Amino acid sequence: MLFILILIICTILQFFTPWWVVMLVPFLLALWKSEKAGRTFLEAFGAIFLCWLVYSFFIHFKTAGILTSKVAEMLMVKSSMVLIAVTAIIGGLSAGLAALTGYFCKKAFLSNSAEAKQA
Amino acid sequence: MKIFKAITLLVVSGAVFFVFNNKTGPLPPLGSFSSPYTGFWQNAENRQIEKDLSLSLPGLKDEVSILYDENRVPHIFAKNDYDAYFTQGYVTAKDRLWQMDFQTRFAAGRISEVVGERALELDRYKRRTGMLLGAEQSLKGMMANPKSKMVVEAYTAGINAYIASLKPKDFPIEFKILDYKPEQWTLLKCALLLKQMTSTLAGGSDDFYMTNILKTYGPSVVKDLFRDYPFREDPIIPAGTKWTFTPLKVPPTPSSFIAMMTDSIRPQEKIEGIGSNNWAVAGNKTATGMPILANDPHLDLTLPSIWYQIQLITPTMNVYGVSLPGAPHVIIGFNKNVSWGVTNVDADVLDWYQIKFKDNKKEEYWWNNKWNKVTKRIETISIRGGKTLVDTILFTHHGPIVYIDEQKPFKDNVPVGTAMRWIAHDQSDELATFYKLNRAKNYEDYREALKAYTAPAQNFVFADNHNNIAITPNGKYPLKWKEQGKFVLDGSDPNNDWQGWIPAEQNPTIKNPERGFVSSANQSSTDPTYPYYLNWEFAPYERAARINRRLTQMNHITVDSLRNLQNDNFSVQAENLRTTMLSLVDQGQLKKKEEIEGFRIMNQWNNFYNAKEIAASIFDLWYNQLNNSIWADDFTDKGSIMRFPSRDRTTQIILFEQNSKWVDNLSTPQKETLADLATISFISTIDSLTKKQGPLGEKWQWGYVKDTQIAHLAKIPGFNSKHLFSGGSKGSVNALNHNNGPSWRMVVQLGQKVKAFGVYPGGQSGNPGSWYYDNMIDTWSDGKLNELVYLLNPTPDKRIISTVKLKK
Repeated sequence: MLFILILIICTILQFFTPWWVVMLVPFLLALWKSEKAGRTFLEAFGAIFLCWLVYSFFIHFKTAGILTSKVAEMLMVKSSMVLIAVTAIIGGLSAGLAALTGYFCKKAFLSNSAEAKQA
Repeated sequence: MKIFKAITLLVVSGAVFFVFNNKTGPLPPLGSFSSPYTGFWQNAENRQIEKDLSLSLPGLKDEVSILYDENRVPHIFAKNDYDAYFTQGYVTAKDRLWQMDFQTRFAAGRISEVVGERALELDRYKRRTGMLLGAEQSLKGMMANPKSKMVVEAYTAGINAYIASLKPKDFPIEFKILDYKPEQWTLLKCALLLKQMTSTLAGGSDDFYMTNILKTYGPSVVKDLFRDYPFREDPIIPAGTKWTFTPLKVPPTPSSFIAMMTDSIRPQEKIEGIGSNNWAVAGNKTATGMPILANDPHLDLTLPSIWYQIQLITPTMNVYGVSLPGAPHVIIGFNKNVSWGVTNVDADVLDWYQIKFKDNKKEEYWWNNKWNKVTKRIETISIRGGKTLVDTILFTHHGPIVYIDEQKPFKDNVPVGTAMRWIAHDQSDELATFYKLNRAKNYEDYREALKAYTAPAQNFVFADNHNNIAITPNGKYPLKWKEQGKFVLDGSDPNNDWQGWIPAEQNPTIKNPERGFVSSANQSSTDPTYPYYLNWEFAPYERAARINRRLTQMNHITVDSLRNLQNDNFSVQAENLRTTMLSLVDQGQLKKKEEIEGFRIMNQWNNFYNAKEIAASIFDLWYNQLNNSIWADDFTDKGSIMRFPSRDRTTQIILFEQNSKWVDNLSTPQKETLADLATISFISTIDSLTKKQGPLGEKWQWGYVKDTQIAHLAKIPGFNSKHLFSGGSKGSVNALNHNNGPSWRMVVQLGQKVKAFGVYPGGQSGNPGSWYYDNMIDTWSDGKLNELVYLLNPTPDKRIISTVKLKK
């Protein structure tokens, strides 16, 4: 569920917002609906990883890789494919971490309010 | 525990966000930079350009059509001049915004704002040489002329119209890499760009070195080794030309003193290679019976190129050529009736004055037998990361004091500084010249256009449809006594100040000379009979000699034969020296097989610096080593910075003064002969080539040794051109070096229907993600030219690939 939500919302929102929306949206969504730490991370990571991978692949092929190889050399990664993978990992990692943070914040908040109720 | 986990993750996420959102060292902000929505991916362009576009641009007065041809050259059809310059600004910014931003920042001493402290010294130097003051003066000059004012305002508005249309994802990739934003373009930036050209072409000075040599060796050595006229020369205005004017009285030479000079900062040195060739051939020597003009300016080769091709068509003009991104007009080009081109003159328009301060406060200086007030200009340099540096620049009436000697505490002598008198600080309006040239119809228009020109002085070559050809080493020249400014001058004596100007109409010029051609290659402007002093040293004569020899021999000249001449790799230097140098070598000392083989190859060489010539690699290094072994012991490590005598003087010694006392190496006990030096330097040449290129073979070919590459302006890895395998050398007509050379080659055949050809090593787009970033390099590297698309009306033909309509 989280995966689909993040994927749809971020894919659309990024056309109008700065890049860090891929951290903000997963964080907020995870606050709202997240169940397990590992799964939360993976779903968010996967959503943005996929989103950035597909879009950068699309641009790479549409432009015949004219810039990919040059930037790959600039960043000292081995090839265009590696650069596409690095791109997707950077996006995925940002989203995954933010979602995980959301999950733990939710946990902390809930346990706090539970403790408060018991008292 | 849970709270602890939450806080830990908040911290980690925050840190990741921070790192991905900010620059770390040379790395761009990785989050925004690699996002396919906002990052570098957005700078990748399709090969197919959209065929037709329509845009509305506030600021235009009327409709404009831009037709892009297959090399992405814009052909701008406007109904009035304002719109043409507005659109020139717009399209240039579209293709070259980052280059324009960076070059003007460089000129203004504002690189630290972008890259941080490592550019601080550079920024200080730029400001201390009065670049901003010069640009302000230049702007005053432009604004005083209604036409220039209109042009520069329209151009600036066009650039800003483009900048206003950008979202962060659209920023040129270098902004994303260096993590900063495009800022508003200003009128001052146009002036700064032109000043930067003056700095490149007329901002070098050897006065310090010459002064040190004079102090160390005395005047007779200077007279002998640093002569005021070369022993072999082929001046631009043919020797023996009669001067038809009555010259002004030249000021008398004062007796002056030279103070002690020590400083750690070196002024910009003169570099050979920042030169150019141009020529025009009269109709009686061409196949068509009409003149043909050629020009190739040599500058540092970069991506994006320093040039941008453009055609501007309005009711008042139809001009095609190359422009400088950041300045309006066409700088080198042609129209229906005329063509013109430029090479650098290298007149002495930058002098240094010793300043005597009253005391350490440096508030007053001695000049004209009284104390005069020093003015101060505060320069604030912003550094990336929020720090600022405040630098106070002292100004005398000569100009800024660029170097202030560190006062030694144990000495109480009067501190000494040097003030810079530079033509670039004067009010000027170079745009007026190009405004007129772009619209010129005949020789009179050309002469009229040249009057307004100040700096950097250029040899303006010209040809028109009335079968006239002409050349004028042109600029605003100070009226000097002979050798004024060859050394550092005494700044307290008014006789050392510039005393006025050579009248513009008395600048050297020649029209339709008998030999049927005019040419220049940065050599001496005139023979010694010209009544005024322009400089004591110009570029070596070899390129000029070759051009003039070839043009003299050629008849039925075509565009193609001139293209071949532009690509001529012959070395007059090798022709002059090779056999003598070989005869000096003691062959008995050549033991290694490389040495013997190298000698044999040298013996058979035809003096052409072609890409495949091994001999060219050997000769080039050998001459440098020999030159070094003659002079290094005399002109380095003498306690002050010096320079070597010219190539001309060295050639003279190798050929005719082999027993000169300068030959002996002072640092060895024995007495060396020139034969010893030639032999030792030959052996060491072979040795270093072996070390660098491996055993003698294909890798020794000149194309590999020279290893030409066209680097990105900010030297960003991955954005440079491939390595090119090419011929040519500093001393060849094809003056192609490791990283500088013919930055634009143009050949224009005048006639009823003008036909023009040209190419530069790069592409119209400054975007590494564009197909037009470097698409012309191969054509250029192969020595070919593109036919230039000269449109008379806005009807697209097969060479036009897209049309953009601009509306109000």
